[in-house]
Amino acid sequence: MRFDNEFFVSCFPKLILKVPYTLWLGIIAFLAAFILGLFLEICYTSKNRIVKGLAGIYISYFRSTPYITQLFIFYFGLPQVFDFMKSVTGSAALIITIAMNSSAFIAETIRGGLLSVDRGQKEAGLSIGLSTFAMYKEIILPQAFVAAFPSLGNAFITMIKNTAIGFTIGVVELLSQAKMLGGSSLNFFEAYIAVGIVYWVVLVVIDRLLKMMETKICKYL
Amino acid sequence: MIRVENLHKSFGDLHVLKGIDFAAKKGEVVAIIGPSGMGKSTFLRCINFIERPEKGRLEIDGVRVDAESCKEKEIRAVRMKSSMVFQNYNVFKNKTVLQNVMLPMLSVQNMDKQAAQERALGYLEQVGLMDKTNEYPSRLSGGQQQRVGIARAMAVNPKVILFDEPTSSLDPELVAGILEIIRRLAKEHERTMLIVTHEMRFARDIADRVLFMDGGVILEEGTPEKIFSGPEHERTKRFLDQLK
Ligand SMILES: Nc1ncnc2c1ncn2[C@@H]1O[C@H](COP(=O)(O)OP(=O)(O)O)[C@@H](O)[C@H]1O
Ligand SMILES: [Mg+2]
Repeated sequence: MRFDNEFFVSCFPKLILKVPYTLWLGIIAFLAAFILGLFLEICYTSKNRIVKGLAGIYISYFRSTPYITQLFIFYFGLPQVFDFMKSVTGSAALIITIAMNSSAFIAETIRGGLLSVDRGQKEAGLSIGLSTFAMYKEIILPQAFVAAFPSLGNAFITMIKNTAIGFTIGVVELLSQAKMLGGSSLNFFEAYIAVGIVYWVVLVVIDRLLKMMETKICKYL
Repeated sequence: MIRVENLHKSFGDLHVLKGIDFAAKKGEVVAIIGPSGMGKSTFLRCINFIERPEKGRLEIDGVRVDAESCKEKEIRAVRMKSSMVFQNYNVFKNKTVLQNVMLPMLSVQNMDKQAAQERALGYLEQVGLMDKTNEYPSRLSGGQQQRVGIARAMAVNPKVILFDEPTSSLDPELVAGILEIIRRLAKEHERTMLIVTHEMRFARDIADRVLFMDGGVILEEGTPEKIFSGPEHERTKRFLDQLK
C-alpha cells in the first residue's frame, strides 16, 4: 500500500475546522455534567431513602455499563418508547449522554473536594462568627475547588474523547469528518492517522493548560 | 462580663460537663487546668457554641442565651462576643496571613477593606508577624501559624478570648514565644481570657484565678497561690504532684 502524502496533508485543514465544534461539545457536556453531578451529590446525601436509592441506581448504571450502550439506548432505544424523544438531535443526545456518563464521577469528585476541608477550619470559621454562606464562599468552596480541580480536568479530557463516539449516530465531529474524508477518496488510513494526530495535539495542549491552571490555583498548598 | 450557669454537655452516653457554674469580670485572666479528657476543651467550645450544650445559660457582655431554647441568630450574636485560639491553630489554608486576620472584620463586621487592613496589620505587629503578612500558612512554622491564630482571634474584637492549649502542639523551642505573646495580652487586661494549659508556671504567672476541672465540674478554684501552694482537694493535690 502507498501512503498518499498529499492527501494526508490536505486532511489537516479540514479536520482542524472541526476542532472548535468538538471542543464545544466537550465544554457543554462538561458544564452539564457538573450541574448534574452537583444535583446528584445533593440527592445522594439526602436523608430521603427513595431519593438516595434512585441516585444510587443512577450512579451504578452509568458506572457499570459501556458508554456506547448508554448512547444507543438513549438515541435509538428510548425514542421507540417515548414519542417526544424522536425529536432529540444527535448532538443533543451526545451531549446529554456524555454528561450523564461523567456525572457520577463528578459527584464523587465534588464530595471528595468538600470533605478535603478539615473540621478544624470549619470550627475556626464558626468561632470567628462566619455565616454558613460566608463559610462556603470564603473557606469551603475555594479549597474544595482546588482539591477537585485535577480530577475535574481529567473528566473534561475523557469527555472530549467520548465525543468521538458521536460518529456512530451521525454527529459530524472530528472523527466523522475523518471518516468522510477517507470514504470520499478511499484513503482511510491517511485520514485516521491525521485525525489521531489532531486529537493528540488538542488533548496535549488542553492537558498543559490544565496543569498551568493547577499550579496557579494551588499556590497556597 | 461572662457568666455561665449550670452548663451540661453530653456526647451520646458520655456526660462530659455536669453543671458548670462560672463567672469572670472584664479583663480577668483565668487559667483552667486538669487531667486530660475531663471536658476542659468542651467547656471552651460550648462557650463559643462550636459545641451546642444541652442545658445551661450563657451570658457575655449583656447577650444572653439559654441552651435549651436558642435560635441560630442568638447563637451567632453570642458567638461574636468570644473567639478561640485552637490547639491545632486551624488557620485558613487558602488565605494569606493578612487575609486570615482580615476575614472576621470583612465578612462578619462588614468593615471597609482599608480599615480592616490597618487593624489587621496592627494585630500582626503585636504577634510579631509583620514580615510574613503575604505568606500562605503552608509556608509557616507551627509557632507562626499560632501567631496568626491569635491575631485572628483578636480581630474578632471579642470580649472573651478562649485559648485551648495554645502551645500543646508546638515544638518545645517555639513555646516560649507564644506564651510571651499571651502574657502581654493578659497584662493589658482589656479582654477576659480563659486559658486551658498544661504550662503550670505560666498559669501561675499570668492568671488572676485558676480553675481545676475534674469529673465534668469545676472541682476547685482560687488564686494561683491557693491552688498551687495549698489546694484543698485531694484530686487537685494529686494532679499537681504528678506534674512535678
Ligand atoms: N465530638 C466529640 N464526640 C464524642 N466525644 C467527645 C467529643 N469531643 C470530646 N469528647 C469526649 O469528651 C471528653 C472530654 O473531652 P475534652 O473536652 O476534649 O477534654 P479535655 O480538653 O479536658 O482533655 C473526652 O472523653 C472526649 O473523648
Ligand atoms: Mg482538650
